[in-house]
Amino acid sequence: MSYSKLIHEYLDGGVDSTQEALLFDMLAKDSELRADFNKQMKLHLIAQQDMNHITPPAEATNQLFGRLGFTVPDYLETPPPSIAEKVGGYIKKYGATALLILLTSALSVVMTTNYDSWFGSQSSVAQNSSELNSVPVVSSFETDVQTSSSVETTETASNNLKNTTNQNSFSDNSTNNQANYNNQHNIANRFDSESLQETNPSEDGNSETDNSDLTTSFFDKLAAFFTSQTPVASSGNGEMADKFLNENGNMQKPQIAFNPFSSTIILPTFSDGEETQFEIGFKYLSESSNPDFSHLAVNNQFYDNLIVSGMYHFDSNHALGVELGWERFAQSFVTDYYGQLSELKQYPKRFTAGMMYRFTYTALFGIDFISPYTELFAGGSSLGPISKLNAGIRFSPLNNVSMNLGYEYGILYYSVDNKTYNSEKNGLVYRISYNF
Amino acid sequence: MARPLSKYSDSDLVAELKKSKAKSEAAFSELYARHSQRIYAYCLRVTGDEESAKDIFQEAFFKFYNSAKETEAVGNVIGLIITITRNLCLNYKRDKKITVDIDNYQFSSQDQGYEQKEMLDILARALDMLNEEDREFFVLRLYHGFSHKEIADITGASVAAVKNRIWRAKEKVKDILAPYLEDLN
Repeated sequence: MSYSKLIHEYLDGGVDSTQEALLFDMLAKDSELRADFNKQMKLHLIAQQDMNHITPPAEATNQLFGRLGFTVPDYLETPPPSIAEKVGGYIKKYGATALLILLTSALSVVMTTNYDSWFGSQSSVAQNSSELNSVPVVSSFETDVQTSSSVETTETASNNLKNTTNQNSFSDNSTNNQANYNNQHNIANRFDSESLQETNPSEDGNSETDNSDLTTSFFDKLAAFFTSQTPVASSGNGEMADKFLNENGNMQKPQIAFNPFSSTIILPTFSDGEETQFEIGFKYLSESSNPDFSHLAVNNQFYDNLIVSGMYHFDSNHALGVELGWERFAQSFVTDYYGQLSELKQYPKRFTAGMMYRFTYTALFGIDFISPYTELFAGGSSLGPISKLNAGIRFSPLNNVSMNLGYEYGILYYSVDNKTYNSEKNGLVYRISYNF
Repeated sequence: MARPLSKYSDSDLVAELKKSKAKSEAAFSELYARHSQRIYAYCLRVTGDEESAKDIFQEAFFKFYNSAKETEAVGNVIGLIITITRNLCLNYKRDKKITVDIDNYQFSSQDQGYEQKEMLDILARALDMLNEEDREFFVLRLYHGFSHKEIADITGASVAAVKNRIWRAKEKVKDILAPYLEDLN
């Protein structure tokens, strides 16, 4: 008789004391035999668990008793689920999806209809010193509406801009750029920023001239000028070189701002739905949009766009969780600084938070360790609400470790002077996660 | 003062089935409460199909009731119910042959980590892969806890044959579930 069969007979209650002693002696010596013993023991246990888990359906009980002409006694009746239990069941089954749809819908409504009235009364741009340490203002274009000149000419504007650019790039105290300096100083005061660079196209604006017309024509000229200029990203002060940068923009379209979500590093997670309930992970976004903003990041570091996520898996398909990040957003907007319309560009780093929902298409390819996924994020930062969509492939080469490769599109909405701007960013997303 | 039905033996309750409708109904309800779960588990695990299990389960108790009313005395009530149920299951299986490709099953079950409920589902699927006789012996022994002698009485097989079949069934199920059993705490 094999020892495996001896184990079977022992668990079946069919061995005498001699065989029992022999079996335990062998178990003490043989690890493989102990493993076999454990398996057989577990088999007995799960069979009993299965037995206890099975209950006859109430429908069958009712039909049988009805067929016999009996009334089902109270102790056999399964009470119908209460309303609370039904609601709880629906919440458990569809709650995550419903919540995500609700959040996304609410966010969409806010963004598309009521954003100005809800958020438009205040500027949601970086405005304090701590923020601006990492939020350089890229550029600004100004017109001095208090001065007497009527309309800025292209030549004048270009010359002034060149002067300003040169000033910022190669010298610190040129007297013929005093106005530019003053303007820069004003903006710096307002934004409490040492990392501000601007160009002053004119110091001779006409106060009687319509502001918008002046702005439009002037900025058209500026745009034309800057399209032929390489943005200056340095100054006489080496430390300022990273912070004071000249940029051009299209002032006729102030409502359009570029906000790339450049490199976002997220460490999100992934897990195999049914088996693991929680996951924690990290994600990184390698931004491919708005490359012209990347040089605006001060002290740009790897963790500038690092995102951490924690998720709960409802099943193998649905997961809901939170995502916390430290991300950069490109902002380009027009604002009036002490009577001077300016376009500013900046690349602030902000703490972001929000809820994330993921749907995983399990075994779509018939391979367990590769699954497509889609993620939706709804949240915000101090700048405004953020939504993201991310889709890709998840690899699960190890039991508890997953890696995602996907493409993410995100958009930030923010308000400046009662105008709503958006900032988009997209790129490849890399993620590693631990499931438990 | 009358004894509560919970104090009655199965045989006493069967005797009550022959009395008034009220007493018969009460006795049947008590017998049903005692054995319905085991009978349904047998039906479900032997047939592997919920709808069929439900039909056979109802029919088994219906036949048992009618049979018990006509019988003088029943010594082994659960044995009688199981025998009736078994015959119904044999009829069902005779009409419907189910085959499962073990290789395919094993290929698609490589994931690691699982919850208890999933483990039980996997056990049920593993039982589906056994031949009908092995599956029945496995269920009668490991699920219902019948002795080899009782199983021999129910099935008409010898005790030695019962032992061998149970051993064989257990080995097959153990092999199928090996990766899961190793990880199961």
